[in-house]
Amino acid sequence: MNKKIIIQSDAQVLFKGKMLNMPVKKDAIKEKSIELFDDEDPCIIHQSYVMKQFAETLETLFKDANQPVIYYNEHRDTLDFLDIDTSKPVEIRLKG
Amino acid sequence: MIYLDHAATTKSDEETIQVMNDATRNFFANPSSLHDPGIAARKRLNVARRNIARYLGTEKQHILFTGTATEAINTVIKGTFFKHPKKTIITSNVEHNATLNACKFVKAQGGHVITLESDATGNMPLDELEKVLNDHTVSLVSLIYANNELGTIIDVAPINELCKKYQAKLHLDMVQGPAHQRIKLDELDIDYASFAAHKFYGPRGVGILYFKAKDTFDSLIHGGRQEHQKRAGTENLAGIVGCEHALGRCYHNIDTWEATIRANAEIFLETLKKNNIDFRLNGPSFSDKRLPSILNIGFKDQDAQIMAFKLNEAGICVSLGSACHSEVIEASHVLQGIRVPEAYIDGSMRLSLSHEETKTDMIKVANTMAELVKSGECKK
Repeated sequence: MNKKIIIQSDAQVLFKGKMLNMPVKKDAIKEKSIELFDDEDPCIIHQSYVMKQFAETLETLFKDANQPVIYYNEHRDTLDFLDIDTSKPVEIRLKG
Repeated sequence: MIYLDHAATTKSDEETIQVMNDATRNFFANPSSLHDPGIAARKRLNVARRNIARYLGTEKQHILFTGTATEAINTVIKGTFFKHPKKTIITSNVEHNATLNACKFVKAQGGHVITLESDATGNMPLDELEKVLNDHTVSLVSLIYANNELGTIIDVAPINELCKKYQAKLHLDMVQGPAHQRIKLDELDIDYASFAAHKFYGPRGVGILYFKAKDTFDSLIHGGRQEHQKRAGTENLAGIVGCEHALGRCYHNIDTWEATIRANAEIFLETLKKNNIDFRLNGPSFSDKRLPSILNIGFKDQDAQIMAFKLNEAGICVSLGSACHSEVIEASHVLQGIRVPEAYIDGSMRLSLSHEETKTDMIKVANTMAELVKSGECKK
């Protein structure tokens, strides 16, 4: 979950950094927080727990794919939490 | 599941739950009412108070029930300040937030509070304490008896001696004590002590304040004449009865339970060492005066938040001492207070054991932690 990823679309880098810092929609954090804690206004500690849940989801996708790259379009529902422009094909690559 | 967060809250056994259910059913009336059901409730309350006092090594006139230990601590600190607004209150930097934030409130009201720095084991240097006692007119010294994050047990006698020498009252936050030690309040000869039932297998919602003399502090809650006229509000009888039962269990089983905990803590530390990973036991060493039940482990260059998350997935519940300050998560003030080295502080977590874990459990926990470190999954 502390691994680095690169999110790219059409050769343009949308995000580069640790999974835990990936761009996540504010609404997705709120929704997950309501699901987990019944709290629509989570404190920073609960927000960070929610982020770990999303990072865990991404880690699992990489594990299941058994390769260092996954494609947003193939996991659109699962990765809907990502706050990125998905109008063009997006790939998420594990670094290192 | 392996639950290692007993310093946060313990789980009541079925018998304690049953005792509370029975009390709710059979002693429903208000203990202040003068009719048969009220008198029965009053009698049951008095029996519980007497037994709790006995288990804590004192007498019933010194026992006051509150809603939480936080309330008990606030009552002592603020109640002393209200009584002696010009005098100084002394505390330390490794206290629970109940103490630190009550002191912060006192300061905000214009009171004078001195927060002394503890040493690397979580103990307060006596010479520092004496210097402050000598330089100021002190009303109260409030210290944590068994540190909830480190397990440090302070040496009460010399501190109490100093307090008496300078005519300051001594309050001990003894919340982590009764589950692990037989507390003998009259022998300790201190002025105040605070407890919480849910830390010794009782229910949440019951705190205990021990006070030697009732004219040394003001009340925080005013209303009826309950609790020696010091804490108004109808008593939580079912909770108090549950507290009595749970404390009795601890009192009678503590020697066996502590032997189990010590053996389990030792095997945990040994197993961790065998794995050849870089970690430290924050606070006192295992052979020092401490609770063996609280182990604060710092893993070098690891992110304890990630590790705790992964441990939870593996069915292992531990605790982080971190706190949220607006938009950042900070390392625990206690770990900062004892100056845990930077490489270890973010990788620090607390395991708090009970008598219910097995050696196999503790070996599993140590090996799982070691695997997580070795895998690099939790690296900072």
